[in-house]
Amino acid sequence: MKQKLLQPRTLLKLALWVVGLIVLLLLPGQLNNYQLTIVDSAIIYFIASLSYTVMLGMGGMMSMATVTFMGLGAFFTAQLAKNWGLPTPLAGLLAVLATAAIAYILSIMLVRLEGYYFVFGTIGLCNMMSTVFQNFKPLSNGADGINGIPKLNLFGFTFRNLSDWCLLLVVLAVILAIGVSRVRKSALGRSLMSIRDNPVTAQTLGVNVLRTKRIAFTIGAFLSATAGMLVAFHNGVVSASLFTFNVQQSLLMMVMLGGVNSTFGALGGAFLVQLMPEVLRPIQQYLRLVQGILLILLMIFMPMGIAGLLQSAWKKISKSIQKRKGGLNVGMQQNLENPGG
Amino acid sequence: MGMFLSLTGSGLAMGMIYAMLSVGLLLLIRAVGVTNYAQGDLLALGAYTAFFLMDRLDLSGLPMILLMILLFACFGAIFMFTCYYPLRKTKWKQSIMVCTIGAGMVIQEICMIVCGSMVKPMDPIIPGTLTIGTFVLQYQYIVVFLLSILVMVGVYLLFDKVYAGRAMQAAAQNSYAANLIGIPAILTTLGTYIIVMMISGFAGYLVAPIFLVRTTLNTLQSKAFASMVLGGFGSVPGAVLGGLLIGLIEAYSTYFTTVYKDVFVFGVLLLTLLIRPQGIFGEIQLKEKA
Amino acid sequence: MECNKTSKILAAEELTIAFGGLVATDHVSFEVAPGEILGLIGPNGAGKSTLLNLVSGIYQCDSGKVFLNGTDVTRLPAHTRARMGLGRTFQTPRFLQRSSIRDNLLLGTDLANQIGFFQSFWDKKGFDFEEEVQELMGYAGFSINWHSDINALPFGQRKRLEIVRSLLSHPKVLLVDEPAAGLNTKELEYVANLLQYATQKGIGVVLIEHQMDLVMNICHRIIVLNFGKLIAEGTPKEVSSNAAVIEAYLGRKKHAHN
Repeated sequence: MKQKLLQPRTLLKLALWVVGLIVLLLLPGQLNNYQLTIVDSAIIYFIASLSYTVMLGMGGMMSMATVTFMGLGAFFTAQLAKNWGLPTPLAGLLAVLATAAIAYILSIMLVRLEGYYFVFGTIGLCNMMSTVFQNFKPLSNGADGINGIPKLNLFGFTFRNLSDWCLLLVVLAVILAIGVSRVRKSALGRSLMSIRDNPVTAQTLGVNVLRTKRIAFTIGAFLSATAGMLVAFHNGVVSASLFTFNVQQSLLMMVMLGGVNSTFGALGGAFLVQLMPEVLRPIQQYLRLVQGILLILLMIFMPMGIAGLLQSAWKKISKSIQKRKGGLNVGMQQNLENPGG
Repeated sequence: MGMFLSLTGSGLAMGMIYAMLSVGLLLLIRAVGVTNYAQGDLLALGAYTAFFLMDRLDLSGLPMILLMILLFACFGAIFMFTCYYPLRKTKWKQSIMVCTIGAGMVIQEICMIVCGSMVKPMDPIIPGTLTIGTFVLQYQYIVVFLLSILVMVGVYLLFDKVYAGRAMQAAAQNSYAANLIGIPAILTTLGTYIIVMMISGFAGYLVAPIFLVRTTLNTLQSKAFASMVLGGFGSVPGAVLGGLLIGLIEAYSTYFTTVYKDVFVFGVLLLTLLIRPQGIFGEIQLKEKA
Repeated sequence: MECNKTSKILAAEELTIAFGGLVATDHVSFEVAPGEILGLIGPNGAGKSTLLNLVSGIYQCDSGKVFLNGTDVTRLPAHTRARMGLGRTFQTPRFLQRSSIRDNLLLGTDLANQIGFFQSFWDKKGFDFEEEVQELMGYAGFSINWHSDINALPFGQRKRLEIVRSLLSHPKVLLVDEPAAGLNTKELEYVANLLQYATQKGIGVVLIEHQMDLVMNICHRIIVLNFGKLIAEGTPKEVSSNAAVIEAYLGRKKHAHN
């Protein structure tokens, strides 16, 4: 298969990634603690928003339960590391896997729902678990939350300060983003996209719609749970207020702002939304109002987010370049075949 | 025994509120094809509007009701022109959904800005409590129940008997054809939105004395959805029955636990989805013809 | 136009389905042999697409059976039937809207190879199906740029590409729904090419079509549906002179195409 490495689009993407990587790796040294908190949070939310990339961007399933699985990942991690005394990497891993398992079981019920019913089902789940997080002491210690979570200790290195965390987060984010990219190019990605575009046609192409959706849902939960686990270790404190429906709305905004189909876009969106409270500090009490208006305007004018805007601009540019070069092969052939069009 | 009846009473009243919300949801889905995330916020908007009129403008009685209805009509129109009109030709249905999420946030914030962020009490329409032995029920619950039924009957009559209602259904099924025979689809859509806002807003006005005026009234929306699922896919009587059932289940569960009643309700929702996803009155949807 | 009349690759027995009060398909039976092209014709609304939907499993029949290569698949869901070798195209081509041509074609080869999601994730090489695609595009009559957007192709090419995609999945049976609709004469020839290529590979083809040129030229046998019932069956010659068929619909068209 002739590889498409020389495609200008791929080259550009690669260049962007490399630049972004360099920036993110050099950054921790340059920023102060306060700024690092913002960057760290943005990256963690980016990891959570990757679940949207898989479920919504590829699969057309809009789940509003991302924070639920984040919460489960966070609380399980906290319990296992602090109260059960497990070594931190193991605690984190088990927490994420347990959450993914729970997600799979829930998905059996939820994926049977079509379109908006699925959305509402996940909202129900989100609300339900929000109540549980706020009240069920054995899991979340009620409204007080869990504090004093042990610091993450990986191969003997303890992650204490924020710049160390920043590096770790960047590495993790890159690995997971590459993973999601691989999914998009693999059979799972294609099957999901065919379900998104037309489930009936997907079936005739041999796609087991329910099973594929379940897998996508579980992967999404896995990503959210990982983000939750990172919150637990990074902040050292977790409480129910981090995983409410309002937070879910913020997450949605990050994804929509950046662009649901673009991994890079989700990162940009996460940063922008994290920066918003800073930028809008003078009108702080209107923050949510601005966010709401922003969301409405986004959907009307830029439904594919900033990334979408850039992508369509790029397409227009490359089309006009190609037109000047002398037409696409396809175009020429077409002219020979049917002069009438 | 009295306790049981009291819970039944309050359950039925809340059930009617859920029913009204879920019928509103259903109308928008069926007539316009839009999933409205802000349904609960519309209810809160109704409560705040009523509060504003009574508390800030010192109105009461008939003038208040009339002004409230007028405001609801305006809000309905604004809502439609913001969240539906610009997006009516979009290929991506979820963008309208997300837009309504934004709208919900905006509604919440504006309510708080105009009326202050403290939770507010509101006087019931008929104050006091009916007490017969161990049966205790606030009069407001009875008012809620009766008035809701009136509203529901009104909506049913509108859609079934009056021309305007039939026109709306026609436009919903085929807006192109409807346009050809002189039923402008945009007007019927506008009409639908206004009706939905009226129902939801009125429900907010009714429920405010019980729940107090605050923005977290929007959690009622999730229960409205549960009602819709329980009652059956796309069925109006189903939505009403589902609402009543959810109201009752919620009320009875408070006998065992106050804090986890939401969990109970959503547990029922998930169970329904597992055992009988089409709900009580629904039919298994025939898959799209290839 | 010889075909191998050994065991039937597809058989339908007394397929019946009713929607509400309307019986859309009324006890229809037919068979297709490997390498045979069976035409399915009838006036609009006769139930042709419904029949295809029943065979491919998109609708569950109320009664009757479907056999794929001798196996009873009546109770099996659509995707399982597809994996067993039942391919299908649609009247309007259905592709992944936001993907390249290559990704769309890969959907076909995914079905041929069925290696599973996990393996596919780690599979760096990808399938080497370029040769096969080139060969098929030769029959289809146009060339493509792998990486261009699917929407860049005109309608006629997309329709043919859908058949190519199905053929890439190495089906045993191919259900083709009005491939000629919207195509000009030259493009029609290419569609005929593709279908005849399929028969060379031993694929059984069921072809719904209104264009009588195509039907009469390439079908080995034809079945005729009207109001959900099978009203005639036989070779193109037999069917075109069948009184019931002429009465139902062929009449005027037959004279026009002589």
